[in-house]
Amino acid sequence: MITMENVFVRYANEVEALIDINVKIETGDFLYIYGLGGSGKSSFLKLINREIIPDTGIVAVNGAEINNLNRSEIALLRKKIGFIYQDFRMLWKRTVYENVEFVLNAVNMESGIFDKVCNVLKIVNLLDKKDYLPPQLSYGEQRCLCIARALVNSPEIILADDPTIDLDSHIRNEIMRVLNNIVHQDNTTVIFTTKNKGIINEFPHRMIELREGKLIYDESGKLE
Amino acid sequence: MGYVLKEVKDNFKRYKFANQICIWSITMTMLIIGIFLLFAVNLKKVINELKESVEIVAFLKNKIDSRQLAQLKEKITAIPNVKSVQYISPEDALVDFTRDSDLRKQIEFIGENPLPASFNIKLNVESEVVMTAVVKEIEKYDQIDEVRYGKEEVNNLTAFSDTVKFGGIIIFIIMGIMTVTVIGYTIFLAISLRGQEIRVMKLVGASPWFIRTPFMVEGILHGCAGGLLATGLLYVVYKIVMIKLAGIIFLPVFHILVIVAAGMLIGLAGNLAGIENHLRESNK
Repeated sequence: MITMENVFVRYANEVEALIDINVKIETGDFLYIYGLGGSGKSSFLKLINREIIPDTGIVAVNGAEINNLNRSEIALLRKKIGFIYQDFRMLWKRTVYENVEFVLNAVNMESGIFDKVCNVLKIVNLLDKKDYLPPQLSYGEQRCLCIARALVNSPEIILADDPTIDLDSHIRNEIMRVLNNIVHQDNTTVIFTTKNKGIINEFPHRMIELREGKLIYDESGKLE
Repeated sequence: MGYVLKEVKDNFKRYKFANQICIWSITMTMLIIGIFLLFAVNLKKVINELKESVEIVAFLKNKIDSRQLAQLKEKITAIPNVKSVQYISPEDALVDFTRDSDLRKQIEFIGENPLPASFNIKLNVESEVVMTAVVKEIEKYDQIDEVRYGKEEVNNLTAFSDTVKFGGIIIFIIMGIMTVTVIGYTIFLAISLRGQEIRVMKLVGASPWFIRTPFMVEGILHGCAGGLLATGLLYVVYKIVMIKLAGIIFLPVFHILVIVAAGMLIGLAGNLAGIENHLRESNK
């Protein structure tokens, strides 16, 4: 479970990214965070991944307050999270295979790495490009690589920062199918940011809406 | 461990430029340290040779028979701190003396050999106090006419040696600090080229030690390579200098091991310091 209580996030340039956020996300939820650019969606995700901490308020992931975690505990938290970054955050000098393999090495997996990596690359249609370097991939393929890296470790929480933007519809649908399956089969929590109303209407789940850092909508259902 | 070694091997291929910067910066600074050590080792050798050349000369009274001579030599040899006693006959002294043509003419004018027999005595310890004590013991013997020794020479050499040692330590410390600073900043910059990679590793859940360990091994390897390269270049320098200055010695094995070990330590410390900056968690 993820909880945010009275959370404020203010950046050094005095920009208020999140203002008085109160939200509870249960294990196994699929939650959309809808909002236009600059509404605070990415900051919301970064709190959960402990890339930032709130100026005030409490953020807790599975009962652990993120403010109080030391470096090793932060690493343990992130091992349970698969983050699909909007700006990819790739290891540019490693191949497609190595980018995904790295996550499994980081969690000290000893066997079955090759099969796991190939399975997830197959899902995102990158198996035949596993020896390519990221700069050799198209923009959409790089995004798919990011998705593969997030999924390979079967994480408890998936944070997806607008992952289907700029993807072909068939790949987008496949990704949504995979994410939905993960939620249903593995009880994984998925938090999905988007500024695309269409995808929310096409694959409806619980949704919250952020506008200028404030939470203005928190109910499941379709947007009108 | 297998993962670490594979990472290190792959990183040497992925980041050739950054690795070369690290190795060559360590090489150049270890080379400077090595040149300094080479100078220090050879200066110490020269000082020791000079000290060894300072000897006590004990002139003997009028002719004494060979039995008394042998007994006297034995007694002087038995004095503590005496390393060796060499008998110089009047004839040997004359041969030495007349190497100079002016002095040879003077001897020919006199018509006979005025030079007495003597003992040249070398000590184990080069100190004015020990030398004075030995001289006092020798002067007690009746067969000894006069004793001469380079008291001031020993004092000056000892003072010079002490000054060189002290100055050498100060220079070594200053050079050590400069070396570590230069190498440290260079490695820091080289690691910064990989800062993005370190941040991504953190974000996907790699623990600090999982990220650090390959860098530490790389740092040790950089230092080892740098130290060995520096030793090789130093040997080339030594061979070039040998053309002009015969008699200089290369560094003993221990000093070479110190250079390599220092390089490894600096490589390790530099990498650790560089990576810590990127491992720090930001709060905004």
